[in-house]
Formats: sequence, C-alpha cells, structure tokens
Amino acid sequence: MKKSVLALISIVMVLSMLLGCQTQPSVPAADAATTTGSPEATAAAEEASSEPVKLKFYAYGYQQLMNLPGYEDKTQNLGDVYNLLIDEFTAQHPNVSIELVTLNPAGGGTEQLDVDIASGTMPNIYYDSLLRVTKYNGLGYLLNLKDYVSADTINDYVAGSIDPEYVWNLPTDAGPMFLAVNKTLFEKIGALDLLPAEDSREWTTDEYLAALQAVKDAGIDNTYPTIFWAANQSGDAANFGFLFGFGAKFFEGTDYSKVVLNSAEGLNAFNFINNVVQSGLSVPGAAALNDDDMWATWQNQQISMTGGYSYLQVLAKESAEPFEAYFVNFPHAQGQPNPPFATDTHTLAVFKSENEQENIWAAKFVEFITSSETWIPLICQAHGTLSMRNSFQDKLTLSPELAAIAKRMTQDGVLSYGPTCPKWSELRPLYASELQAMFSGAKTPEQALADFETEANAVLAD
Amino acid sequence: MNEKKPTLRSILIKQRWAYYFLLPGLLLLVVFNVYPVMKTIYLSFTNYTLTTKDFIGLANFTKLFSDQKFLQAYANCFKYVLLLVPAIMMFSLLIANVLVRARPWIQSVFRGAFYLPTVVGGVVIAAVWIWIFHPLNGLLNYVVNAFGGEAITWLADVRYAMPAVCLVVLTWTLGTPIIIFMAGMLGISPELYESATIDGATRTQLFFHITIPVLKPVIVFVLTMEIINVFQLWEVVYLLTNGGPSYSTMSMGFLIYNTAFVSGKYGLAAAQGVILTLTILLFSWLSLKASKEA
Repeated sequence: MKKSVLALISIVMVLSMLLGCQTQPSVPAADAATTTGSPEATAAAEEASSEPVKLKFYAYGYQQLMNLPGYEDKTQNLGDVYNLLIDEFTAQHPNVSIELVTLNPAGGGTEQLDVDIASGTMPNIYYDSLLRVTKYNGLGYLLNLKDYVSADTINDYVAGSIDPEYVWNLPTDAGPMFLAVNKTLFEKIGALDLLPAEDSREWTTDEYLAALQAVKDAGIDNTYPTIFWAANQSGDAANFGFLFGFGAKFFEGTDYSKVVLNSAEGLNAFNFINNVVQSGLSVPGAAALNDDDMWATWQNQQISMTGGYSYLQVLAKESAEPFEAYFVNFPHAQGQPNPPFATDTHTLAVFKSENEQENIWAAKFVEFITSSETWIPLICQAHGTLSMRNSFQDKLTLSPELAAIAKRMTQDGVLSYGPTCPKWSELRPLYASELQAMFSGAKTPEQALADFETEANAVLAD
Repeated sequence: MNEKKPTLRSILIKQRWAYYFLLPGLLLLVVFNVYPVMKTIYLSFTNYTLTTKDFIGLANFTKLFSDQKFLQAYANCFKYVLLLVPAIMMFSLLIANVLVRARPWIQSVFRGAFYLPTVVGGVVIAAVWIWIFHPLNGLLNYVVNAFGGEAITWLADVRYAMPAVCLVVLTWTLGTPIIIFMAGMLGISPELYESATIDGATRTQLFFHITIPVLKPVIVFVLTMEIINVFQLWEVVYLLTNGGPSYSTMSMGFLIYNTAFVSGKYGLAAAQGVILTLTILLFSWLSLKASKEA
C-alpha cells in the first residue's frame, strides 16, 4: 500500500515536471532589425484600422501625479491620472480599449513588469523613468516610433533628448538635477555672498567648500552643511553632478561596453566627495544614510544644501518653518567647464507586437499623451520638471528657480550620463556599494573606483 | 485466520471519500508547491532570461561555483546559521522555562508579547530597527553617545552589520519557538519534577536532566525548523542592508531575488535556489540523524 502511494506521488511529480517543460506562450523575440532602425523595420505600412484593438498600458505609479491641480477629485489615487488619459483617448477612438496596470512605486524596479513578460504578458505601452525603460530597449523589445509618429512631433523635441532616427522612446518631461541651497539659512548666518550669483548659478569647488565651511563654523545646533548617502542606490542621480564637475563620466559617448569612471577625473571627484564626508562637512554616517534622510533633513532645515531636484522646493514650502530654496549648479573644479545638467527623464515607449494594429494604436496613444497641451504642462508642474518639446516651453508654469535652471540648461546643455545603458539598473547598486565602502573607510577612493570598474565591466560583458 | 491483503483498488474504493476530500488539498499542493519546485529544477538547467530559454546543462552550476558573490552569500548563510540558531534555541528555551512557572495570565501576556513581532512581519520590524540603528537619530547611538561613545554606522560597518541583522532576526523569530517549547514543557509530567526535587535536585539540574531530555523531540523539530528559516533569510537583509556593506550580509535568499528580478537571470536564480534547497535538505537530514543517534 505504502509503495503504491509512493508510486502514485512519483507519477504526479513526473507529470507536473513534464507539464512544466511544455513550450510557454510565445513572447515576441527581440528583433535585431528594429533595434538598429534598418529599412527592414516594420514601417506603418498599414493604416490604422477601426477594428477593435485592445492595448495594455503599464505605468509607474508616481506619487507626484496625485491631486493634480484642477483634477484633485479625479486624481486622488495612484494611477488615476492614467485613467484620465485613457478616457480622453478612447473617447476619440472608441475602437481602442486600454487596460491600465499601475506599477507599484515601492518596488523601485521593474520586477512586476519582468514577471509579467516572463509569463507571457507583454505590455503595449510603458511609462516610466528612462533609466528603467532603457533595459527593454537593450533587450530589443521596443518599437522604433520613427515610422509611427508624425515628423512634426519628432522634430519638436529638444536636440539630444531623442534620437530622431531611432525613436525608441518619447519623453513627457525631464527634471534637471542640481544643488538646492537653503537660502534662508545662509541669510541667517550672513553668508549669502558665498552663494553663486543669480544670473550664473555656477561656482567652483573651492567656493562650494567655503560655503559649507561657513555653515559648519556658524555652529547651529543639529544643522550640517550638506548630506551624502550610500545605503542604497535610491536617489543616486542627485549626486552624480559632483562627478561631472571634475570632467568624470561613466561611459565614453554611447559605448556601453565598459565604464570609464576609473580615470584621473573620476579619482579627483571621488577624493573630493570623500573629503567632504570625512571632514565633517556632511551629515555623519553617510554610509548608512539614504535619500529618505536627505528629504527629511532638508525639510527640517538640518542641512544647508543637497543634490536633488525641484521637489526640494515643494518640501521647502511645506516645511514646518518654510524657507527659500535656491537652485544652483554642481561645483566645477578649477580648469573644468561648468558641468551640463543631468536629467531624470520620464518617457513613454511602445513594446513591439506581432499585431501591427496594436503597434499603430499604441504609437498613437503615446503621441497623444506627449502632444497633449493639457496634460504635459500638468505633468511637468506635478513633477517639477521641464518639457522636452520646444513648442511647450511657453506653456509651462515654472517657478522662478526652475526657470533659472532651465535657462542655464539651454546654455550649458543636457548631459546623458548613462541611464540609456541597458544594464544601468544593475550598475547602480554596484556604484552605491563602492560609495558606501569609501564613506565607511573600508576602501580608499582608488580602491572603490577600481572595484566599481571591475564589477561594472563584468556585468556589461555578461 | 488468513486475511486477504487489501489491494490498492479495494482501498481506493473503500476509502474513496477520504481521497475525495483530500483531492482539493492535493491539487493545491501540486499546483503551488510540487509544480513550482519541478519547474525551478528544470529552469536551473536553462539560460532563462526575458529573451533566451535554451537548455545549457550544468553551466549555471559551474558558473556559480566560480562566482565570488555567490560563494560569499553561501558562506554568509552558514554564518547566519551559526550565529542565529544557537541563540534562538538558547533564548527561547530559557524564556519558555521561566514563563512556564509563571501564573497563567502572565504566561498569556508574555506569550503574546513575544509572538507579536512574528505576527507583525519582517517589513515592520525592519522599519523599526532601521530607526533604532539610524546613525544620526537612532536610539542605539543615543545610548552610545550618552555613555560618551561615538555614533556607529551599525548597518554600514562590516564589523557590525551582520550582528545587527542577526539581532533583528532574533527579536523577530523568538516567538514561535517559545510557544512551541512552552507547549512541550507544559506537557511534561509534574511528578518527574516532584520526585527529582524530593531527591534534592536543583532548578538547573531539573532543567538539564529532565526538561531537556524529555523535550528532545521538540528541540529537534524547532532546531530543524530554525535552520531552514535562517537559510532562507532575505527580507530583513533586503530592508536593512541591501546585502551590504560590501556583500557582508548578503544572504542566499536575497541573492536569488537579485539574480532573478534585478539581473533578469531566472535560470541562474533557479540554480541558486536548487543549491540552497539541497543544502537545507542536507542540514535537515543531518540534524535528524544526529538526534536519532543521540
């Protein structure tokens, strides 16, 4: 009896294994032809049909897109704004139905989408930060929208924000990264003259250090000059500007086969950052802090300045004792040019489908969103970002500080520092880990850089 | 009287209702346990990513044994077991031994108090301990400073990170063994203690010569359960240290998660899972064997 039961269980196990080995529903394979934008790429030779089309829209649940001005009652929940976009589009095109999947922001990664793709559920449209969308470009999943979107739309984009020949994404907005300074605090300690002038917003590393030192010398209780963090990779882009001020870079152009941060410039940058941390000019325990600490210490006026983006101005206004935020560029080393601004871009992409009508309508939906004179200014206002469309510049309501940064961006340009590298999401934790080791004293800047180079290149070569 | 041995067919017919009632549970077991395990074993022999799915034999396994990160995570698992399991066993036995002597209402209060972290879950526990360990505003550094010491970056210093993680896990997981041990101790006949006490046995002698030997099956069960749990440690590592600093707290569970969901290498992650499973099976078998021989 025992043997029979055991035999029965074994048969069940073998059967389930055989079931598991069955071919999975086919997932559209990466199409090399499309990734290189060759003429064989499937152009929109078909016209948009009025036949019913069902699309899947995966969108990151940005908390800033809740309670949008004028739509407070309709955007109270995460992802509500996307439903409004869908409703407006499908009202114009009743044959199209779009199913929304709002990605959980707490995840911080692409796990949810990856699991769905692995199980055979491919989205049609994806909205997220460029540094997450880029992964799918590297895997060959994204459609070249060049033949699906009007030339007017493509040409309207700020130079450098998209590749007009291989349009694998269409940005909705981009937020510059800069240093935010608590101007009220500097006024209080009588050191306003140490800050960059309003018309230039630029300064050298020596001037930056002098400002930090002034805050430290003022000896205000429970207040620190600045903050660095490395407990995890969250918010890492907020401090990359320090690297660029020394002329350091992650990659050589768009050659993502290896990192080039381990250079003389990179070492100078790492030494500079490490000195700020080790000499008491930063909140103690940088190795164990994360960006949550940055937001909290900024809002509580426990730091005089920090790397970040325009949301810091919102926090300054909402502080228990509101203060004035002043945006400036990251400092540059003597002899180095003023670094261009790095941006955090939010963008839309279309996943290739074997059903050409899905591709056509997904591209139309993307073009609808990125061309919306209602929604793009609202999204920009909510994120505190700028539009990457030239025709939208006068439609945006920018704070004076953001307008000043936008003006500098037109002069200094925008830097693509690496988030378009398909494996950027794997490199970020490596960078954070080495920064943490450096801040804790476990590694010298040289060791941290060298180890980052070794590990990053291993990931890129894999 | 010679009874005819029942055939499988006759058993299935006679006891068919029992099997009917077992069937839903068995189906769930197959769908949610057996099938995923079998599928994982199969995937471990493939290079399954979002774009590839080819059979590659033992390539994943040979790659793992030359991967420093994997070897460090694997070694860390043994460190966690060596640090945590004896501590969990010792503290839970001692606490249970104290609580069984208390009045019933005190037992209930403390049983609930110790079990609460288990119910609340690892995420909440980790969030509280992140505050306690915070380098600037943390309770622990407040105490350190009060005694004239300098603030310590508990979760970012390779000397303290793993002990810190172990401390969190200890506070989180003590509840279940305490309850199990208490139940076992309450089942021990009081006459054993009475007769030993009459013979002049001290409390310590009672504990080591009566309580422990009688509780041996329960101890073996808890030991095996805790070894399995500690080997699978991941959420506390993920939330507290992200596997750092410098992979010093990286656990196999978190490595598997990273490999699958950050790097997108499901085949390699499956191979890591298979190795972890075989290790757990081996340890479980060894602990059961050792207890039988003892």
